[in-house]
Amino acid sequence: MRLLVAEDAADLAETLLRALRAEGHDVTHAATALEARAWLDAGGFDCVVLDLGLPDGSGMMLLRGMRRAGDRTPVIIATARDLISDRIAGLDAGANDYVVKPYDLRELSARIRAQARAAKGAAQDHGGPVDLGGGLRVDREAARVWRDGAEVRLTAREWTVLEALLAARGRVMPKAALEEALIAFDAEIEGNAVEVYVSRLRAKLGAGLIETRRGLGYMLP
Amino acid sequence: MKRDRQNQRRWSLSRKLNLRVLGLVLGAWALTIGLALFELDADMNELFDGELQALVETTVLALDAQPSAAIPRTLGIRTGRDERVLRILDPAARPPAMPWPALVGDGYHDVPGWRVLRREAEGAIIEAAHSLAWRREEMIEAAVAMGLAVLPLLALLLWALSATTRALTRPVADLSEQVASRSPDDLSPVPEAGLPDELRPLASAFSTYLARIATLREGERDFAANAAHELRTPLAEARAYLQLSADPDARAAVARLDALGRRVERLLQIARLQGEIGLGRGPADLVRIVSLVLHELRPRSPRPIRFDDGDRESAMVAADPDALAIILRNLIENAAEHGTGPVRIHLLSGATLTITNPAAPGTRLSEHRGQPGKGSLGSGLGLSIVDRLAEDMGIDVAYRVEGQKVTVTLHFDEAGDPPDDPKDKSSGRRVSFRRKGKSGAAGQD
Repeated sequence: MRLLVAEDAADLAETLLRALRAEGHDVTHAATALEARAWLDAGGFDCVVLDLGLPDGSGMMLLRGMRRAGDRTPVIIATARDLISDRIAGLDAGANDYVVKPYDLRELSARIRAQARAAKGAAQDHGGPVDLGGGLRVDREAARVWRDGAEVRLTAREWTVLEALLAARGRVMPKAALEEALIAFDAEIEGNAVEVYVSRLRAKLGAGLIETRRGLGYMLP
Repeated sequence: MKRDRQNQRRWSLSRKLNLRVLGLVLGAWALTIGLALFELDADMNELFDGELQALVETTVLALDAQPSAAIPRTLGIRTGRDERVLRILDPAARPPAMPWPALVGDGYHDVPGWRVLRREAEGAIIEAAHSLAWRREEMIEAAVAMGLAVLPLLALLLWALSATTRALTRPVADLSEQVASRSPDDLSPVPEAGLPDELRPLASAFSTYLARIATLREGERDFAANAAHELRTPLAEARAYLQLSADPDARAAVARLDALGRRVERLLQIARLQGEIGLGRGPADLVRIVSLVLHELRPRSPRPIRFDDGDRESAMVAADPDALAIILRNLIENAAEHGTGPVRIHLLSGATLTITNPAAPGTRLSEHRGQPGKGSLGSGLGLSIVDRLAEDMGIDVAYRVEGQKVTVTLHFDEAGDPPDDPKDKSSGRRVSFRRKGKSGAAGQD
């Protein structure tokens, strides 16, 4: 994978580059926002690891500029800013993930792979995680769903049903298996609980998203 | 001591003003009424004396016109009550002793129970008299009539006085209410528009004081942000370097570095605490904050963490998002580190969150604050910080052990609920972060 690491701390950048290159990635380093902008304009990156506190400007501005320009390259913010408000601002600005220093290199690497994989899966749809068709995109790692570009908030139970269907995509999921997934929340669930959550998912994500196979269960085509 | 008690005694400016002005006005009014009654008494006596004079003169004229009129005779102008009496006597005869004794000389005479005018003319002694009791009764009637006329005016005065005091002290009440109803993190200047000259210096001084606090808080927050950058970046460098090292001893040091990282995190949390991070009232979406905190914690958590959002997309609570995240992070880390199984987080109806974890038999919660639990990688400060932030934000935190299960329950104010009286937050605001705390729940052992 071709990665861009925008990080001004020289020692950290050097170690990070060494670790990522050791995993076989083609890694480019930018120590300033200007340099990073220039590399991004050239394009072709599968993922960007972005520090927010760059010496010549905020990484957040760089990220907003990318998204405004329609650049959907996955961005993982890697920063010392540990407040949840910074995290929310970063994600709302269009970051795909957010890690706080000091981070585990293996964890960062796993997140890079997840983002790049998700982006590749949706390349034909201008980025975003897995494409479900009908304007729907799903990021299973982050448990996030978008419909026509706008994020749709799902409750934990709704997500559980959707994720179970995603895991068995193309196959019929018996109602009992979905009930089994919901039992993690309540020891006893209502007899129509699965129907309720499938109905809610259809209302939020589109009526044609989940098919009912009478007598067998549900299926995500 | 007595002075302290006096200082603590509550009093109201407008009530005191009302009472004092009312006291002064009523005192002046009573004095005026007293003087008026005195004057009225003198005037009425003069009037009554004039009536006696007219009566005597009329009688003299009548005797002059009818020399054969019977003498003596006594006429009670109001018969039966003897309030006003006319007595015509023969100067040669002995005068009766009732209702008043014999008088000597013309003119007015004050005898027990009577005011008498005596005049000798036309061969007769004419005595006209008023009963003093009757005169007093007339005087009282006149005073009561005057009083009745004054009462509505007195009521009007009381109303006008009260309304005027209320109107005049309204700016004080408004200013007081405005300051009291501010959220704890509102350090904006107090508006001076519409305030009287007497209150402007107070508002101005208060605004200056708020600005100084804002500057101090900003400085503390900047310090925390800079410290986070200055401490976390070298830690990240060292951690990455050790993690990549081929030396097994160096790689083993990563865990120690992580423990150091957690201590740094706690110190940063304390710095933010001193920067009054907990005074904000958000609102914050509890569901989203929990999800974000879990996204951060799950990869490195030693235990699985499950979150049941109660089938709600969001739950807005009146809390600062950053402070809320610190509370949740510390509690969940504590549960994952000290528990023996999965950590379960449940959002219940309203705005109540429970964090539950199975624990080893004999787990206690009455450990000292500020001390790490047995085998803990932490500093032992996490729950002290939770308590302090929860206190700042008005969040009820309850720790409970039932069998082999530990539950922490957090009750939040839903966004839109009025915050607790900020004045009540003054007590116990400072929590010291000494290594040995005194009491309370802490890390599970």
